[in-house]
Amino acid sequence: MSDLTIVSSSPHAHSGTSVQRIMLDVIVAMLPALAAAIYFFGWDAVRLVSACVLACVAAEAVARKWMGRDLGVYDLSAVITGMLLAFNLPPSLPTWMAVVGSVFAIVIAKQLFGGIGYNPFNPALAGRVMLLISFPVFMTSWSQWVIPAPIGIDAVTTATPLGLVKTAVLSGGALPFTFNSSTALQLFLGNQNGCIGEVSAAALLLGGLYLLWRRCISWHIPGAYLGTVAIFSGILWLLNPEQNLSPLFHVLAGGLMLGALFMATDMVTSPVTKRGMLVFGAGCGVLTMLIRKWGGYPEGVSFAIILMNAITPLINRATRPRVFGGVKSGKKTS
Amino acid sequence: MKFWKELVKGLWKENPIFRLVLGMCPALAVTTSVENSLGMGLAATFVLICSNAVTSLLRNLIPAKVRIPCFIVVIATFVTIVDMLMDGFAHELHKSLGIFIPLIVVNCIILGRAEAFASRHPLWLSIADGIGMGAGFTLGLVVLGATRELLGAGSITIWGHLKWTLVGYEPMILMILAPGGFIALGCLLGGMNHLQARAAKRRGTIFSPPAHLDCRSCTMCTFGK
Amino acid sequence: MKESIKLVVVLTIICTIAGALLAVVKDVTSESMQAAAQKEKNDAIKKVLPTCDNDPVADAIALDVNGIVWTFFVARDSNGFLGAAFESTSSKGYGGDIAIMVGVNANGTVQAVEVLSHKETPGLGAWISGEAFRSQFVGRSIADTSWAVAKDGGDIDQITAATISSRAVTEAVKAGLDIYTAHPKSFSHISAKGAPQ
Repeated sequence: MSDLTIVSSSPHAHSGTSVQRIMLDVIVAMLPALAAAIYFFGWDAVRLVSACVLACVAAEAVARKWMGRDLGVYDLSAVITGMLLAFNLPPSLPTWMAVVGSVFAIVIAKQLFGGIGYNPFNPALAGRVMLLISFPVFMTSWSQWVIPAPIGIDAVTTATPLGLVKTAVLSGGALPFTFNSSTALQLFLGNQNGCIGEVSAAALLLGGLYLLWRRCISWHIPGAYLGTVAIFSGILWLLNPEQNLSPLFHVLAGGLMLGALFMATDMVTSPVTKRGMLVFGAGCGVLTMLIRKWGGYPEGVSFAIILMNAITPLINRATRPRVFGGVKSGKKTS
Repeated sequence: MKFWKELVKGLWKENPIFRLVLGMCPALAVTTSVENSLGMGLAATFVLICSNAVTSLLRNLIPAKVRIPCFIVVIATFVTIVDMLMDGFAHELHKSLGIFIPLIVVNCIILGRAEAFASRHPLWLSIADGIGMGAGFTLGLVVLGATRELLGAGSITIWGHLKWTLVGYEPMILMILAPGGFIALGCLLGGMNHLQARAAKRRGTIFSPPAHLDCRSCTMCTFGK
Repeated sequence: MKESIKLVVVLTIICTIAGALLAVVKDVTSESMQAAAQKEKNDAIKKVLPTCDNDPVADAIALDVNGIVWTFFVARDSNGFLGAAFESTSSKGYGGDIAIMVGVNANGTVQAVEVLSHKETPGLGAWISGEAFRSQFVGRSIADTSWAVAKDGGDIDQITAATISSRAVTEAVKAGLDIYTAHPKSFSHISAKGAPQ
């Protein structure tokens, strides 16, 4: 049957966007961070990214086949889930754990809820959190990665900057390193220990700007997220500079940049209205800082986003725009 | 034979956990190990048999209007008896089950069987129902507990004697935490539906799950369709 | 009216019978309930103070420190004072209170640690009752040890992913050991078994 004979209802003008095109844009946006990951962590980055992507695509195909749906791997969303999950893993993680996380992310967190568009939680984050809770030893042991002088207290360290801060603060000691402009530059470029895709803020920002330019994401969620973290940590810093690092550190360190630009902005699991996005971003920011400052874990980005994912439907309800011509809610007469 | 039928229905056809989906609080909370599951299941079975028997005996004496308070008093009495007996004679088990023993009172299965079965059937059938349902409940808990302990701790230990270990396996701690309970229960429920759907297909009939587990209104998968 | 009287009568009878039944069972079990709890405690004391040949519970000493009464179960044999066991509780566990029994030598070093009760997460914090964690307290005293988990810069290796539980146990051991070490006079008069006190 020719396409010309298909009759469908309006709208007939198509913007040209499709799930596949958006996903392709996201993949392109992740390439700088992937390059940075390979530059800093070498073979381990290649190993983890390929394992996660292959496992995600295979899990998606098998799960959909088994559930009697069409294969649907051509929308590339599984590739993104795999890449994001790999970005959230420490370089020394055994390959089989990465595969377990990928299968969990795709089968349990995505396909069992109905597949793309129906999952309440970001699948990559669900996979990461599952791995973090299941295998805490492996997920928090960092490779013997040589940290360059500005941050390093030793030539070789086995903790992330956030981890060092947490340990120091918990034991009541002073901050483990001073944070100045050269340290900030190291963090910005990615000369720090951490998960393979989160270390280089510069590469992530490059990708984020590309997504903004391609209109795959709007500024609201990342803006509100980063802004809230900056304000929250700024207040703490002003109150007690002995125990808290500057807002710049909190914005550049850990998985915040990756979370704010690539994971909190996931279309399926974040609110649809602009106001809702601001609330969502601010909520993520507050939760992240609460966990970083007072929680048991040094980093709180993944938990913060997962928790905000859970209340996304409520945010959507609360920020539903007024129907054009309708009366303000609360003034309803009937 | 009727007695036999009431006895075995709880094991598979009307399994309290996987078919009736009752008693989810203990099913999720205490199944972190086989040992706890077994203890909880046996304690609940004891209460179930006793309360079924007493309810059945009193079924013509209890006025319909106060039947629920009466059932609850009967159940609570037996639960407290189990609690005290366990504390006295199985102290270790009592310690590890902790708060969940008193909570047997509010376990839906026990009140549910008293209300739905024992209050309208003679003594011997009610006892059979109690034994069958209790065994089914215990079986469900043990299956769930074994799954979670094996995956979450990497080994199964029962009272320190029997010990199976998965060699070379890195335990997934998630499985013995609360989310693992939900995930394991969901997967087992799904698997059970799948098995029954397949068996129905082979027989040439259509599998219809219990109302609250019905997939017919859902378009997520084609199990049983 | 007649019906409601029937309701009251039936419910009252059932409750009375239930109450009577419970009283009987309570009577039967209370003795072994207490015995079980006591036996548990005695077993723990015996485990942490293995060599004594007196009855540590009978020879217990109570110390009142800042309004909190610490009971030290004293171990003696024919050569004199051997050490003491004490029960210590930390409310800083992950799932609630953690109660431990600690045995100390006469010279103030830890002889053994037993976990009496805890509500920690199985598979994580529950490993505080494991031999590997408990045994690292053995041989330590207040003076030669930094009483904190390694993550906080101390000498005690915490259980991976269960720092909170490990910290709570460490604090509980230290709390009792502090009291014991700070009050040597309370124990110095203890003589050999059989000798008058």
